[in-house]
Amino acid sequence: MTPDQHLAKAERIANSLAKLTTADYELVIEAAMLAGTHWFNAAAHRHGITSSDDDVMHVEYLPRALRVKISLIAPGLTELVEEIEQFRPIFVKGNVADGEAAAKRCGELLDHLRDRARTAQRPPGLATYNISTKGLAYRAE
Amino acid sequence: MRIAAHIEKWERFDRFRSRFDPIEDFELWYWSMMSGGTAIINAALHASGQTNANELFATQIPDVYAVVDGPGQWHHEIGVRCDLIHVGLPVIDIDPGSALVKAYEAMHELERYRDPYVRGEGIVTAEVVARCDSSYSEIVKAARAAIAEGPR
Repeated sequence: MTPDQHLAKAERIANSLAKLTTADYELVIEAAMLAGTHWFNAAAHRHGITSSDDDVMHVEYLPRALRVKISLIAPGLTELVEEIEQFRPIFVKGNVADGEAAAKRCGELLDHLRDRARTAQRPPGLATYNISTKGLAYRAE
Repeated sequence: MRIAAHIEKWERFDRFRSRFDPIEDFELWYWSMMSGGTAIINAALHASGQTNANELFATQIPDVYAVVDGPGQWHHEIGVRCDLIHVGLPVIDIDPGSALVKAYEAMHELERYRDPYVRGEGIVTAEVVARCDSSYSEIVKAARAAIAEGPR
């Protein structure tokens, strides 16, 4: 998906998320993962780190080489989504109580991710490659 | 997770679903059904003795589970025949005579709409909504039947 498509999709999900409260923490966390990942992808595409035909589904699946590149070009970007993803096993898939604080934190993380997606820019001269465990593929954009 | 906890999760996701307009809020309406449907299928799998109820919580990595150590603390462990992340993840053999077969089929149908319409740019139509709604009803009906059926 293109950066603009990711931005539009993330805003749609954020609008629906407004119908929930922190007491609904399971779906707040899931919605944050979905919207946050769209904003992450928009930022990564705009930075030229990933191409629009190479969306990330979950940052925990990122190969180390891609993590290194993101950490240098967009420090802290991966960690914003990662923090949301870390809430899922215990509060969504598991039944640890008091997920309200996690849901509140998700709102803060989404605000940061939205800002990062809107302001991301490609460093001059940077080339885009799809990076996977199978190797590299140049992507002219 | 335990059967009662899965059922409680399903009930919560089912209530969340009712807050949304199926077209305007398709992504979260859909996600409520997928998450709730998976929860009640996990309850049914445990009730029918096909997977184990325990305190291992699913992660996004098949067969890798989160085990809570204390407030805010948890670690990973390998688990086999525990909670599913999605139907088919991990792959397990289902008793072909179980009511769960229909729940599995309906969930596979529901999951067909996930990537095109939640992660992708598919345009949600009334037909898409009707198919998702029908699949979800079938999941709940079949999973409840499997729970009532008990151990096989």
